[in-house]
Amino acid sequence: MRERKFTPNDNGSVIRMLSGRYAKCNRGRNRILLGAVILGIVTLTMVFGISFGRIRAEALRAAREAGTAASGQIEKADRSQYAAVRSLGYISQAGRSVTVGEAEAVKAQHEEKRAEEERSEGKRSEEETSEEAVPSVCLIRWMDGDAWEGLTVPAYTDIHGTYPENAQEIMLSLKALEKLGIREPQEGMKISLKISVGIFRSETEEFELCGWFTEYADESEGLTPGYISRAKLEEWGFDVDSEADILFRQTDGMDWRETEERLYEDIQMKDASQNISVSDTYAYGAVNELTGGYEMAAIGALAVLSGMFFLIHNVMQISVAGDVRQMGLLNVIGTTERQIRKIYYGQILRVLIPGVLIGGGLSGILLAPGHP
Amino acid sequence: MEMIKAVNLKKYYVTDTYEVHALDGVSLTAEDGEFLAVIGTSGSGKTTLLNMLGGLDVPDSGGVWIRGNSLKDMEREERTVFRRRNIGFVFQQYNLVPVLTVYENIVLPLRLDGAEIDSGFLEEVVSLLGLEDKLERLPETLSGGQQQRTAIARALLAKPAVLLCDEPTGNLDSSTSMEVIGLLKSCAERFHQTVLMVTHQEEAAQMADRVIRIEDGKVCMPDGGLGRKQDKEQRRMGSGEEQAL
Repeated sequence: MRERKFTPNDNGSVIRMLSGRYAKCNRGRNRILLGAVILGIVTLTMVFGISFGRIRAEALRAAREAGTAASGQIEKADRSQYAAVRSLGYISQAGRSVTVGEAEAVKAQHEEKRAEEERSEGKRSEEETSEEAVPSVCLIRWMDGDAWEGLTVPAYTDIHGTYPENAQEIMLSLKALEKLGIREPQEGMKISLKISVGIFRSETEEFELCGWFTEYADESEGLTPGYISRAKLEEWGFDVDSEADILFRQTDGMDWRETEERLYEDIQMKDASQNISVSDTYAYGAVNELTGGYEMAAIGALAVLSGMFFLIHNVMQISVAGDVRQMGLLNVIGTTERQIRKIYYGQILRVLIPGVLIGGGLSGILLAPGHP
Repeated sequence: MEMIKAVNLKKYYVTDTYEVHALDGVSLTAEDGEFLAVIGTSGSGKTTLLNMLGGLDVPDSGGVWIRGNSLKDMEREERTVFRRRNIGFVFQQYNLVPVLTVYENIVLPLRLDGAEIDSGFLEEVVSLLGLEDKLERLPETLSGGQQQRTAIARALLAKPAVLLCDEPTGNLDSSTSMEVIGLLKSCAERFHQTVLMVTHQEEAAQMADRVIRIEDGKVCMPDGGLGRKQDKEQRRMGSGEEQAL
């Protein structure tokens, strides 16, 4: 008998050829599998996409209504307490804030200016007027970068300009500007305000407008805010490092009770009067409202994923069951199990990959209109 | 040289309600170039025997040697590769890959091995089996006889040491059956291969060099002198070489 040369056991080209031929032969079955994969991908992306979108939208709405993305506050904290809060693993965001006091427009200055203009036109005689305050325009606050960017900016929209850096800079909400009669703000505009800095102390300053924003909080809950720089704050005698409110947000999966309890354990209070106030994060609240909680959300997600998995698995199992005889035949003529697996995985991938791409593309088209 | 050797093969199928002794201590040998027929009625164990000899299944006890290589000592994948390179199969149902052409079916075992195709030998086999004008056709367009000839070509092209045929004429009419048996015999002679054919047809078995009868999983005493020679062989293999296992 003639000798045959030794050869390797594997040959990619014949595996690919067999895979392609079987795929071509099983077109009808593969179309069903393709449909199942596309349906699975679209269902998964729609369910998860819409759910995540809804949760995000709800959380954003709630934060805008509240005027902040923070879920808690530690009043009158010092620097060491702030450092301790920032080091906690369950606090996802923290920053410092100081509330200075209410600001009123300085009406006299405006009237004096108007009077000067009229005098120069010869319309009015000189008269002295005393300073008169008008109803409060805004609540002056200071925030550090983390509190501003991480916990405040998400609650505002249409932010123009930058957070105040220089002592005479101020950032006001559009509501505050409207109260001042300013409908078209410009950077660099001069704005005079009388600010209650302490119980018996007020400061009258001329500020330069460095930015403005739109906020959505209900004013019945509190005055619209205005922001000043740290330089101005310190000029007025405030020491941020010895006393500032810590604004924070815990991780979304943690409820407020657990957060409060752990904060009292982990942070040394200065005295009995120092308070920690916590609520659930807005994302937590949105998940609760949509699904009844993170646990239920996880169960729901698992159910959807399992459903899709079993759909595709069963379709594949039915289709492969029809090929058992073919697999046996291939094995008899000397195809190893590894080669048979490659042939069938090759067939399946020819369906899975286009299915995932088409499903992903369809999902993108369906979800796109709802994307901000 | 003994190309096929089976010693005291036993295969039992056990369920909750019954136990089937498919093979109950079968021993046989086939010499180089011999055409051996194993004959038996339906359920006698001949297909089980063929599966053991071809490495498609493992016996519960006993051993199989093909060209001196013990199949028992091989891992599953090793056994599959060994089968591909050393054993050609011809089945009653032909078992051609339906999505491949005649040519692709014939060369498939070689391509699975990544082997070079001996085109001269291929031409010779195709010509001998009368398949020259059928190479681009799919199996479903061929007659039973043509499909069986394709299966024989596939079994031969790998130049195996042994050709195992399981009822190769079972699905064919009588004249085609004789033609196929004749082809098997002439191929075995021409390419010096050892052929073991399992059949229930006496006429097909008579074309072999030697016939072994199997019933109820045991090799029976065949008629005449051949039985006595076989009897001694059975006893010798049953006592001596069984201990080696």
